[in-house]
Amino acid sequence: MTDTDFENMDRYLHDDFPALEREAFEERLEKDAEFKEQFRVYSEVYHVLSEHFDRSEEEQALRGKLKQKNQHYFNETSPKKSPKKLWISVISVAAAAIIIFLLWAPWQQNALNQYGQIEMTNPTVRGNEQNERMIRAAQLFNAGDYQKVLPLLDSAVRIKPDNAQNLFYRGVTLLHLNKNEKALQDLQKVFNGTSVYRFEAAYFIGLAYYNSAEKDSCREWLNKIPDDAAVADKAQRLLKKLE
Amino acid sequence: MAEDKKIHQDQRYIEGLLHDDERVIDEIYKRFSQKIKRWIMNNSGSVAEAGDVFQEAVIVVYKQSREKDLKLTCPFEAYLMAIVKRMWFKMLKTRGRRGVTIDLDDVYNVGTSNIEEMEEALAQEEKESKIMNYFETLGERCKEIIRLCLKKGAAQEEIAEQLGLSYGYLRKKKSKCMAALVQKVKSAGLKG
Repeated sequence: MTDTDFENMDRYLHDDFPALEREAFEERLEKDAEFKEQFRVYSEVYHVLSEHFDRSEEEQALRGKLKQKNQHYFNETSPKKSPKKLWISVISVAAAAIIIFLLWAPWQQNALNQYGQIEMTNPTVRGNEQNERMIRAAQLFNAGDYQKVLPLLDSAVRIKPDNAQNLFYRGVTLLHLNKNEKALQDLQKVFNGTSVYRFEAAYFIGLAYYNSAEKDSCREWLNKIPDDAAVADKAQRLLKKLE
Repeated sequence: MAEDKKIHQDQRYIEGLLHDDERVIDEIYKRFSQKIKRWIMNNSGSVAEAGDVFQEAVIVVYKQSREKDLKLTCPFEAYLMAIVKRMWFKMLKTRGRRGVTIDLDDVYNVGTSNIEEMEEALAQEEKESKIMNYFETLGERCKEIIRLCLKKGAAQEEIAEQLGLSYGYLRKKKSKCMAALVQKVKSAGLKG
């Protein structure tokens, strides 16, 4: 390509050509594949830069605002609260903690909350009643409303007893509800299968034993997780905690 | 918008971003940042990384609404989360870190139409980032000329005067600078 070729591309994009030259340019585009490809890249770069410079001031301003918000919402103890709100929070948290302490034996929940945060995925296709129910189940599960999600998962397991996904999430739900024995039955069944939830199930079994301070059993289950499993990093972190 | 779907009420977040509405931006952070932070941290990320990804995801939405007139047909949270997941998966992959446990099937939450637009926006984002990196390797004069000339609605004659150049010389110089940039981009194999 010559300098004139590039200059012509620029003039074409700027609509800065007399009709005859424009026709000649378009004819060359049709006949010369290399020229056409060069023009494609030129035009693409041109438009990307043009959009970029056109919005750059606004974008910078927005970035500035987002950066400020990030400092507030994404620090280790975020979000920061005003002293008044903080005081109310302290009282609320203390009250909640006492209630939880009396009802739930919270020491058994800590590890689960700390190391066992997962989300339940929705079914991909809407259209039948069961899928609608599973969408609702995923919403409840992700909101941490385990009491309400349990009957939905019970029903899903009744309909499809071998579905590993339903068993896995029911197992995790039962753990959150402190029903460890039933939880372990579900999770072991998942682990004995071949689904993608297999090693996640082993991880949660490990977590259950971690909660009940059964270190050897916890270690045994976490060690079943191979290095290339997606959950391996989490398992290693928990193993280190045991040391 | 390829599909004739009802616009979701969360479109107000899009409008708010587009019009730099401080209240809406604040609400976006209040309502969605902590869940996304938890998700990133549960998937091998740090708080700072979560903040960066959240910010960039909001910027992607802003650009889409500004340039492609994004119309949400799903909740804003689902859309933002799907962008965050894709960005984070990509970041993990680039860093050679192990993958995460949650699958990427957001098609139901977001809907086919919005998913396609989102994928396109993310591809465009990547392309822009590459082009801007090459742009930054040009000389200062070239960068100045391109920056001034390519801004929409810029009057080339006025720019020539501002830079103390003739219009003809400016045009030649600009296409030379662009040619240098295009060659760099082309040899890196930018896909169309």
